Amino acid sequence: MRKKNKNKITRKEALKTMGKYAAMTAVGTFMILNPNRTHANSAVGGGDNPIS
Amino acid sequence: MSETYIDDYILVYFNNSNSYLILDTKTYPFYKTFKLNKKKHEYIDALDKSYPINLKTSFFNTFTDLSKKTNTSDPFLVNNDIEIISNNSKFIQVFDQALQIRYDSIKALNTVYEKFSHLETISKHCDDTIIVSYDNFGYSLKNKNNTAWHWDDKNIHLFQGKFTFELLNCIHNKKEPEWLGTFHASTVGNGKEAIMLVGNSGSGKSTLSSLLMFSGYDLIADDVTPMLGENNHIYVLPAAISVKEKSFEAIKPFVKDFDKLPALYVNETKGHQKFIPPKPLKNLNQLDYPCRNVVLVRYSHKPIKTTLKKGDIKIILEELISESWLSHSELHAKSFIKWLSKISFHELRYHHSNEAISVFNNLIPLV
Repeated sequence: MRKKNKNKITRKEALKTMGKYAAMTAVGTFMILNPNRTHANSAVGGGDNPIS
Repeated sequence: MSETYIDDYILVYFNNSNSYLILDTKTYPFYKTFKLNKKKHEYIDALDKSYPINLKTSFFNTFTDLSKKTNTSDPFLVNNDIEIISNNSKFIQVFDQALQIRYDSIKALNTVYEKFSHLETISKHCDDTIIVSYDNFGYSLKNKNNTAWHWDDKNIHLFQGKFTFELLNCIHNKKEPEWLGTFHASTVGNGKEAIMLVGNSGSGKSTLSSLLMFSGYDLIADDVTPMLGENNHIYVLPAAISVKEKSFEAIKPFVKDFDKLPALYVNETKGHQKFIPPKPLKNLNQLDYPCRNVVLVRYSHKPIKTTLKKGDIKIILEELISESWLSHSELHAKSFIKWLSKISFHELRYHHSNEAISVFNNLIPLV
């Protein structure tokens, strides 16, 4: 009986996991880029942050 | 779908999913065949027989997924009206626009205000109002049109991002559909044109932008760089530059009373940071600039020879697209792709900031 490969994930799961990803295939490369759905700042201070 | 060649790659936009696909010349035939043959068996038959069937199928499934309509709406938009009782106000003056920021808690205000507090004015006149709030459920914001959003504590950076964007709309008197995107980038200019600095967090783009500002360049935007769809120009966003603890020594000589500026704790990785207000623009009547150069910034902690080489389009687009908000509009996407095809992409590796500044002097000389 073949052992089930627990590490194997479906293509769809891989896509979901990686989000943006670069793929190397036997023939060449391609990459899918998804912009953010909403506006974002880099994390900065604020809120309850103590001022030193 | 729109597509164009950039260097040796083909960039394709899928409007339904608001996704960008980058292919090299070897993988492009798969996409081209898919475009001409929407039925799977026709697509498989049309491709060269030497390709394995599973490879053909894998590409077909990927392109099909990208072609499907996906939900790209703003998940934080509040559909029903929310009431925010905000008795406190701050007023800021940005160029010829006066804005009121109403808030119900210091926590809500502090979260968004530090980058803009240098614009505070005592005048109580206002053209527009933005309301921010914090309660047990998280942060809320109401813009000048009474549209409201809500975020939990984990999404504080999205609350800050929305505030920045709404402020941008007020400053330039624009609406969201007019913007092509807000890039995760810093931008400086010489009074005639802009140059965009991209790079992941910690790459040194904000530090270098500050040093470029102190050497005579205009700081056009830090962290969030807005581009309008109509002209592909970068618009000025006068937010303070957030400088991380490790850059304090490099910036200190240029800022009066640097030690007295408050240091705010962000997290373990970023440590403390200080906010450096932008210097006044060379030409206060010019608030938008064309941009023909994008530089991927790579600061090295170890001393290295400064180099500027042609940037790898894949790496730069990954920084430029996947970390940014881009309008879900085919018209804007076409305009963006057209703009990209005219851009010079560079990669700058440096340790000595004076050498990096010289590189910028060569790309866009100070006038």
